[in-house]
Amino acid sequence: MVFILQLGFVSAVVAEDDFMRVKVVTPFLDVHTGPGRGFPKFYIAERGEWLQVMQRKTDWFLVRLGNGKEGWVHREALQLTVDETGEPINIEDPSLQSFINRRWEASMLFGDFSGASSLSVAINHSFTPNIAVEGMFSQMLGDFSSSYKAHINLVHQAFPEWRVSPFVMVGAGIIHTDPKATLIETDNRDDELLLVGLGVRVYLTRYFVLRSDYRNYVILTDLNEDEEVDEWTLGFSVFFN
Amino acid sequence: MNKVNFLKNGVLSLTGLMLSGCSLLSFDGASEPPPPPEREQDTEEAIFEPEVARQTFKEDEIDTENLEIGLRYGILSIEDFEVNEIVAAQVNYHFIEDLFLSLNYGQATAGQSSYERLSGAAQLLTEDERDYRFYNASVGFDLFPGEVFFGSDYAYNSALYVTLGAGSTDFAGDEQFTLNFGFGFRFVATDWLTLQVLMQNYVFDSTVFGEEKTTNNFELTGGISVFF
Repeated sequence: MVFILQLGFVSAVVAEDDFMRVKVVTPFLDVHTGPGRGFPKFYIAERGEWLQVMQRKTDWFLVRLGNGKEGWVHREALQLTVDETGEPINIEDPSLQSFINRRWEASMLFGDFSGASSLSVAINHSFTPNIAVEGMFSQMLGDFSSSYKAHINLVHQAFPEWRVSPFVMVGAGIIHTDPKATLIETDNRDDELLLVGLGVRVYLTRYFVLRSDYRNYVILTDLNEDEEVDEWTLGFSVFFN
Repeated sequence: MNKVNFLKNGVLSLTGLMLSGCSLLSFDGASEPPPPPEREQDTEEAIFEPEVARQTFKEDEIDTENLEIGLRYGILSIEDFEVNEIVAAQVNYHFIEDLFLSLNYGQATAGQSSYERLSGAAQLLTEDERDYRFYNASVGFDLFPGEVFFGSDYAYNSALYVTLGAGSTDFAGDEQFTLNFGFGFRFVATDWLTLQVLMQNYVFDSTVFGEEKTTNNFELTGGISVFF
């Protein structure tokens, strides 16, 4: 009975202390009051001191000190500590290599769609470093109409290892056009569209990418002639591995 | 002889049980140091030991709190259409320590223009057209991160940030491309809860009065958000 109670007691302690511990092996380690470079250092952890890593905000880690106080340590400082097995700890530092190996990318683009302002969001999944599939949704706000389009693009990147990396794409989707209410009533339209495009990605830093492209659309209308439209965009992406 | 040994063992194990009970009580009370543990407990502790020690560091297991989801409420001055209540929601993602991406959606209901009030019956907009809805994607930059103090005992992290973005506004039966910019103050109450005050201007072209004109629409809101 006593053992059962004690077992409960021990496991309660384990559950409460579930944070990973790291040990300072450099002569000292700065602990800041907040998750930013400007926050004052209020404590200097010494060699041999143990810290519990509680949570992360961008590049800053909240740690609990031996005296029960809590403070923030930068990734670069935390990388100089060791874990309980004595192994140096490893935290991924996004770099050009992470950009090359990216699997998912979310983009926000602003542009000009044949005189109308366009706003787009896109999700891109890379199957190989060269080939990706992208789903894009846009709203175009013009003087005479506002419209939405959604399309799927197949994107080919010839030089994925370059920091400034060009790509080409082809895609297909639909476009929905609402003429402005203040003008003479015309019907809403739903049409199919095809596109070809050419663009470039520039890896900036961390998880950020600058991206710009040009696309040429053919809108398959019910009218006698198909409509051809150009779009320019500029925006940025964030990627995930 | 055997009987004596049996009694002795019985008394010893009873004492043992009582001692362990005592040690448990003193742990709970945390008032005095526990008595030296018995051999039996040593073995038990040895069995538990692997459970608590030798953890390798795994980056994925750290709770990352870069995503912030919040609601805000306040006033929106819709140019020519009075000052109105506004409710908005935002999702912010903090990429690096002083930069975040913000997706916003909000709505308000426009009041009456001076013209409508003075003329009495004439209405420029229908009820549906008075609905003001917007979305935008913005970038926020923590211009002045810092700390604020309550008395001498409490310090909280804070930041004065600026925002710049673009989106769409659906108002008066028309959707317009909208630029937004402003500034806000973030008060970090706990590791996961923040309070903000946000002042933003939304600029878009409107043709409600016939001629196209650029309107400035100011938002002043207070909000609460939670980090995930």
